[in-house]
Amino acid sequence: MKRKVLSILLAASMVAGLLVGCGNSNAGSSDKTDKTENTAETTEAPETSGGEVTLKMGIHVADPASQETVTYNIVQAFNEKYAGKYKVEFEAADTETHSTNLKLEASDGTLPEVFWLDSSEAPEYAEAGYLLDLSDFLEEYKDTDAALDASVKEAFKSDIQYGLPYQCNVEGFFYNKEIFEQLGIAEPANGTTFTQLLDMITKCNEGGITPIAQGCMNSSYAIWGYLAMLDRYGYSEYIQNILAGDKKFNNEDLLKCFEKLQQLGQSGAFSTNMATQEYFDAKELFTSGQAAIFNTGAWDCAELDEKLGDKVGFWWGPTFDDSTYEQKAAMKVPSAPISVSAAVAEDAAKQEGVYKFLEFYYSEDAAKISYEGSVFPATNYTGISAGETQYALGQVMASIDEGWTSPAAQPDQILNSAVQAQLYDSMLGVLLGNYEPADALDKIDQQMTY
Amino acid sequence: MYWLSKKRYIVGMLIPTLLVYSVFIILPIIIAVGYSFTKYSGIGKAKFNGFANYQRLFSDPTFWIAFKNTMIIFIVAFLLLLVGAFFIALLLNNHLKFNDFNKALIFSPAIIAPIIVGIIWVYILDPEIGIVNALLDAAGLSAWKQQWIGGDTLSPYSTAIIYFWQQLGYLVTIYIAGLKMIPEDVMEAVRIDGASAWQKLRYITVPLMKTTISTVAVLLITGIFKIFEIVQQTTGGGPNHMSETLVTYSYSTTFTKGEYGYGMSLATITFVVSLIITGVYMMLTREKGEKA
Repeated sequence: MKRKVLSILLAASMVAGLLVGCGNSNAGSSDKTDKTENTAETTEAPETSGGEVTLKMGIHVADPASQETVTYNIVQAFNEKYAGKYKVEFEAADTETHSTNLKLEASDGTLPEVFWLDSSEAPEYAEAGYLLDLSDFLEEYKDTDAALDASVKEAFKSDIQYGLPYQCNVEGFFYNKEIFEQLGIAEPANGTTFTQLLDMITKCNEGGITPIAQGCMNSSYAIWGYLAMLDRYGYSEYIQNILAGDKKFNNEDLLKCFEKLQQLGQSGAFSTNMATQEYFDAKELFTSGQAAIFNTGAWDCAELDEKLGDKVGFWWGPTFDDSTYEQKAAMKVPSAPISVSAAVAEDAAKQEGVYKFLEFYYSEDAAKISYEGSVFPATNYTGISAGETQYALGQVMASIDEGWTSPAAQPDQILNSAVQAQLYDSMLGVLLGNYEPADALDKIDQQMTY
Repeated sequence: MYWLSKKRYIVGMLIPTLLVYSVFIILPIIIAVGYSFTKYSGIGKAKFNGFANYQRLFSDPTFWIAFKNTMIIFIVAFLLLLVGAFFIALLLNNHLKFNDFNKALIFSPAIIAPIIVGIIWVYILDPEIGIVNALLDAAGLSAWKQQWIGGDTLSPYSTAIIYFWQQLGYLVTIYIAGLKMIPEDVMEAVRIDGASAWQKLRYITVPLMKTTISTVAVLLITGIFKIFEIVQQTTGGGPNHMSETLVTYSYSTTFTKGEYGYGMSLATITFVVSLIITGVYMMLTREKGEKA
């Protein structure tokens, strides 16, 4: 009998042990979903302690302090300003994990109050009712409304205002002035043609320098500099027709654009191990002085300043003689949105806290923090300029001052994530020489049918 | 111990494991199969779309590339490991000099995290910065330089070699454990009867090791179909999906492209293929008269 009881107890304790191990959802959830919470100030803070409202901000990098320093500093400034009243804590994970986490959290109603959201996924979140309509916020906070241009708000509007831009993305090609000088090549300038670029590539190769640093592996998104090329072949003018099914990606204009990408690949513009290099490897190649040009965005300005100093230049990319579309096309666009969980509306204190945070995030103080960190804010405050040692940012601002036009939205951000991924794959496939231009475009059209 | 062998006690003791197995293994498989019949981006509600994902799958060239790569990795790694690990175990089972050191050396890759294994091999196989091509250059054999990873041909073979390197020690250990189980008196009798080394291997060692070999084979089949980190770290499945395996393609489709429904159909097919291969292997190696 004793043995029988012992056996039952043993089995019961095993089940209980397992249930305990699996059932501690609060403690385990952060590990399970591979997300880390930045607890620089406090750990395990209660949501409201002594009247302080704690807000979670979901962010797409694992370590905001080092990877999104500007946002981190803005949040610290906000926490300082509203100490004892509101506090924002990060819920941080790398982009892919962050995206997966949000999907899981949306399904079980635990989305963070405020979060960075991939542009390609945001409309679906809005349609599914997970996001708060920020129209009321803009209505209530007139100064914030005025600080954001209509076009940047429009980028994240459907039936509701489902988000506001996180930052402003300025994308193009940075180049190393010293390399161009050493090789005796004229530096690229806004207006430099594609033919002139091919000539530069030849000369760089002759001088033993990698012409363009480009990463592919696990970095298919790193095609920012080439996005303006799409626009110089009219992409933004007819993309809505393509999305409506009235036109194909494989059209005469984009075919010409992709043929230029093919020529770029065939000209020896990239290192031979481009396929196994990541975006960060490409950046290292450029900052170490082994590559002449690097395709990226202004978010890298601070790092470029640190490593290249005043040797860095910026250029919008090549123009094309065989296109009838506007060639003075730049890429200064609102980045992915910040959105707010619809659940926030159920808690007046949290909603007020979120509104205060957004007000601060789009304030002039926050804009100054952004510029200090060499990041362009989404707001339109004037009179803020780059510091003397912010060489890269200064170069970017000089290009912006030339007045080239930008599309309302980044070309890839208009597409859903599957088509977006195929666009990246097709563009890189042509650069690598794995796809013929027409086949690459057909692949995007094919993805559109699923 | 009679009382513990009663059916109800056995069931009682199995229930905890069965419960966990059902919740964490069986249920997710059923859910994944369910999602494979839907169009679902992971946001909002899944929409039932019948067999559309499976129809798409069979006409998707990338699926066939991933399938071909998986099969190449499977054949190369399976043969190399099943046979290679066995012979190395035979060698290490003898009382050779530095035996313990050799065992430790062979086992050491097995304790390295797969993601680190991938990083290490990038520095060996990368066409530009890798040691292999550098050595070929140094030896004046530049013509032999290859795009070991990141090209359109050799990536799956390289993955198989990396997996071989990583798993060798683990499987050798299992084989050695099996060899130790062979009764010493049987081997003694064989020696007295004057059997050659080949006869001893062919008629004694291999037959007595059959269960161990089967275990290793099943571990290999399931392990090879789960190779993920090596591919992700060395090539990311690229360029342009050329080095995808079924698992990495399923992952990128689900989490990068956000096509959860289609990704689950790929996962289901991967599961079915590995199940079929395991089943076929078990059938082929089953003793005559043995019940399935």
